[in-house]
Amino acid sequence: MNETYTHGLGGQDSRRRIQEASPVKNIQRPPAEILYKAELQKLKKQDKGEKPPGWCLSLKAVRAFILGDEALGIEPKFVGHPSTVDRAMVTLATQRGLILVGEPGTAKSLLSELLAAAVSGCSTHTIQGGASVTEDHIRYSWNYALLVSQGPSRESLVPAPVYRAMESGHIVRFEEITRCPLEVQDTLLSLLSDRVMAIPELSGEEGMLFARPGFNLIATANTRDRGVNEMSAALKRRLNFESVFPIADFDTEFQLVKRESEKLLKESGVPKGVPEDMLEILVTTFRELRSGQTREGAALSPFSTVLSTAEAVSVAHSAGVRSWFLRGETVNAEDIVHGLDGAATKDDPEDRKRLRAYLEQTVRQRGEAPWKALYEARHHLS
Amino acid sequence: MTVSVVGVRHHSPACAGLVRHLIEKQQPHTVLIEGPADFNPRIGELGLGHQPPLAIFSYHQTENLYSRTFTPFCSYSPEWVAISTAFQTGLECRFMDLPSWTRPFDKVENRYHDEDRSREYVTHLCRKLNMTGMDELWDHLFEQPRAFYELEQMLATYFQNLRECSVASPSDLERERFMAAQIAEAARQGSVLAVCGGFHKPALEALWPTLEGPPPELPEPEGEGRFGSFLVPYSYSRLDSFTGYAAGMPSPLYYQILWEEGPKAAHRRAFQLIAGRLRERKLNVSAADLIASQAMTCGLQRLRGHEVPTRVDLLDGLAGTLIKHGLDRPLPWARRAPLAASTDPILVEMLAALAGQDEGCLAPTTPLPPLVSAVEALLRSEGLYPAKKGKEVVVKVGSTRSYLLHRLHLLPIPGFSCEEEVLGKETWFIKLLEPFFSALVEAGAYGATLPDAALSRLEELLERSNGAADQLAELLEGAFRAGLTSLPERLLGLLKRRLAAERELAVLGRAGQIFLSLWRSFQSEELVNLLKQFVDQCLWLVELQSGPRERARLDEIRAHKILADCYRLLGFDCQPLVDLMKRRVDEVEAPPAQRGSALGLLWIFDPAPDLVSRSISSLQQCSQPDRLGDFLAGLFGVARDEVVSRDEITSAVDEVVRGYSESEFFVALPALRLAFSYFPPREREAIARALLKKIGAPEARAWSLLRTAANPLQVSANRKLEERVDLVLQRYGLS
Repeated sequence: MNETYTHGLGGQDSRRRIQEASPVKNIQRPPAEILYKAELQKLKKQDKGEKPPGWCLSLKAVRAFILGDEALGIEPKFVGHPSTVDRAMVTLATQRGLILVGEPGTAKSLLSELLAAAVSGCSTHTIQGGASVTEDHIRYSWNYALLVSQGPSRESLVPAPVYRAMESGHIVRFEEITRCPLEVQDTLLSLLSDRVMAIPELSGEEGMLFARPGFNLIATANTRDRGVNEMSAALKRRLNFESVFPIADFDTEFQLVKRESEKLLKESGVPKGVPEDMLEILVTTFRELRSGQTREGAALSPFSTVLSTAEAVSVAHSAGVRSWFLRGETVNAEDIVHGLDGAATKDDPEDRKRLRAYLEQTVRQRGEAPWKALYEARHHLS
Repeated sequence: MTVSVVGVRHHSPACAGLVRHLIEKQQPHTVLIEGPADFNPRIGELGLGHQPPLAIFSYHQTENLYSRTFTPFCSYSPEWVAISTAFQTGLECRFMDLPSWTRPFDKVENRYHDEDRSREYVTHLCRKLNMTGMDELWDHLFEQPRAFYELEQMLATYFQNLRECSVASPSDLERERFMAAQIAEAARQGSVLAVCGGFHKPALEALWPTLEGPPPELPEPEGEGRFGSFLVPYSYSRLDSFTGYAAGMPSPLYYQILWEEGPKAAHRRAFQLIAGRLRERKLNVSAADLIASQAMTCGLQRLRGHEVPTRVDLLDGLAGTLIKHGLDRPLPWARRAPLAASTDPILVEMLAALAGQDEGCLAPTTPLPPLVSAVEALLRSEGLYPAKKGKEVVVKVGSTRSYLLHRLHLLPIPGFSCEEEVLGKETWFIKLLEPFFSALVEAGAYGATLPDAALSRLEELLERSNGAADQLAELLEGAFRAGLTSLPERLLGLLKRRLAAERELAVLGRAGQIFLSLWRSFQSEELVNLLKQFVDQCLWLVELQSGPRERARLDEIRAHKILADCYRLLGFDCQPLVDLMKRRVDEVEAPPAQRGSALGLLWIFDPAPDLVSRSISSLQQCSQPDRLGDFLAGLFGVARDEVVSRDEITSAVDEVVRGYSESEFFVALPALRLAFSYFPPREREAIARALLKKIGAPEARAWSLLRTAANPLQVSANRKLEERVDLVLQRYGLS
């Protein structure tokens, strides 16, 4: 089977041809349906549940794929409330689209990719939202050489992700939808309500593309972009909103950061993970600065920079790389301070002041050795 | 003799159904119920024909301790159903647990609250079944239509595992020994059916056959003091875990419908209730949305393997389709906690619809709680018993009579209102209002004596408050004025922590105002400490304020004024204040009103010779039309007295305003009006005179300048219209 897919990366639409035989290791970041191909096949094989029209798996199997199933040896991929996944799946099986909303770094895109991979077996009908996105990137455009020589025809039409998803009965993903101008977002209105795309340039049957069963939309939106491009009430009505939150529980977040940072460090050629005591202060720091409350109950000035779990993983990764390749050692408090400095102060210079105050006031009062080390390393803040 | 122990979850309709079925089927000699055994001599009172929810209220008071415990019943509580069925079928029925004043119930507010037992087992099950929490798990497993036999088996397995995966506390073991002894004793008379919390079932089954000899005596309370139990009406709002205090369960009305109409009808009725309430509250819910939410509920029900939708399926379906924006926190039914202040109104109304407003009603022949006679005796002895014709009473602040009135006001008993407080004397208006007596009966649930009841009420208010410094300060005021000495310590601790964490100058100012007014009346050391902390936090917050285009906020100006009063009245060292204010006056990034207030504080505490020139220079820095009024509001709001006598400043303002074009003047006008509203009419007239003198116009015209030429009736009509607009804005949360 040959499959062409488009993988939106940072607004770029890069096209790649992937063959089934392609070993996963040759792809820098394989999409979920390739990465977890074995699991999906296993689930499909034993799946006896009812499937909504056009779906590859039943809802229960999709849930097992995303939240994990010990008995089947399926690893959990998304950490969050199970009911979030339940509501998201049921929405996709109805006539409304799904929009995942939350702070940056709360694994919205991951959830959307996993849902698309499990429901349609394809997570690559993706539009990356942005100011430059136009209707052509959503519906279709033309191959102008063919258009001039042959006139409008199916051959000269270049399908965009929504066209392809409707044609194949797949899920289409629209990342960061609220970064697109309002009128571009509204292109989706008739597609979602009537489930048909009119192509006035073509005549006959080709002039109307009716969505196959299984077609639906998963959009994601960032709460930090609230108000950048407000969404129209008409589009909101056609979507069900599902909020995705940072991980509530320390242990779960700690384990996730540990697991993911070790994986990334291994890929970067660093044999040793971040020591647990350093990881603990890193995750605690992130959680305290994110929630604006210390473990002692005192309030902190809230950060404007987003401190997501993904960012904590990235800090742990960069600290590990820094300590190993620069000093040949494992991570110490100095690496953590450098990492925090870079991560916690992206948007707002005031956040550097807040971080300094946190290190000087909150951390100073803590007696444990790793915290003392963190306090001693505070002068590494730039 | 046959003994069957039925393990239940308190407030579970499925368990209630099972209990009724088993009692009717087995017709045991005795029905034993987990509940306060000291109430057994009066257990017949429960059959007087009350309308639940109601509760047995137990209290115990010694010199150093006051404890109270509720044993609440709704129509679908397994314990209530057991009692009612036993009464109907003429069976003997008794409570079998320790009284509420024994050690295991120390600090237990609600005997039937869901304890967080075996978190590990419940978490494991939730993970395995993809459930979010205990409530969802319970409904999934047990509140579905099931045959009684199947339900009994499932409950037995669940409770057995729950017990095996957790460690019983010494309190549990003490209670179980007592309950098992009661079962053993009853078993000697005939067959027994015992209804208890499921956690105790395996232990009781194992323990009772091993016990011989007479059951232990009913324990008496330790030490001297008063104790007792009596019936009080209860309400669904107190029972609801989203709003209630030490509450027992979520959405009580939903479970009542489940009990009365069965699982199949419950979700339909609940859906109607929610849709009706949302529309009644003018929250936009279209028919298309409701259809989509029905479809979603149905999908979730099938996905989760339910025969009929559960409460969480219904709520998830509605939330998934009706909420049209990202939420700040997970949906409230994901965990047991009171609703957060900023919860989405749709979610608040959905949960309110399922909580219900029902209040219990006791049968007319029920013995009255002791509070009623205690309060009546107190009011008579102090000559304050209300009459139909209202009267004014003047009492001294901090006197016994003042405490008595404030305690009644706190409960709240209608007909007692404090009209004013002047120079240490309060004027109260006392009138006998219709609900006086019923309110007193209801308040009986808070305690047996007036101080206990007022204290419990205050504690309840403390639990329900959002924890903001100003709200806590109001509670502290209530406690001081009602002479409640034991709570303030706890409240003081909370306040100290909250003040240190407060980020809003306006909120801090309101709290400071209350502390200061209390200090004037009571002058305690704790209040001085709180005021010191208020001052420190204020200075820190003032330092952080920025926003040169921010408009004046009256609360913040008042906070500066309170700050000045604190320094003046309590004699704090004002050097740090002066240093800070000197910095803030010149800070170009500070809000103009704050620069004005900072200047005002300098006028009060550091009237150096160069202050006039400093004032004029900062006035000129804030002379833009959109800043001048705010700057002056800040200045006049803090130091009107000091500034009014200074012609230089009024002249400088005059010069700035003269330089404005007409359009600039109109921009500046609203804030200028605000600034000059700090002056009483006489002082405004003096300013007008000075200005007229300066331009050489007759000073006699000054008064006429302050009077409007508009028709007073028109002004009054306009004001009324504005008030109405304000009310409408408030109603929709837009003010």
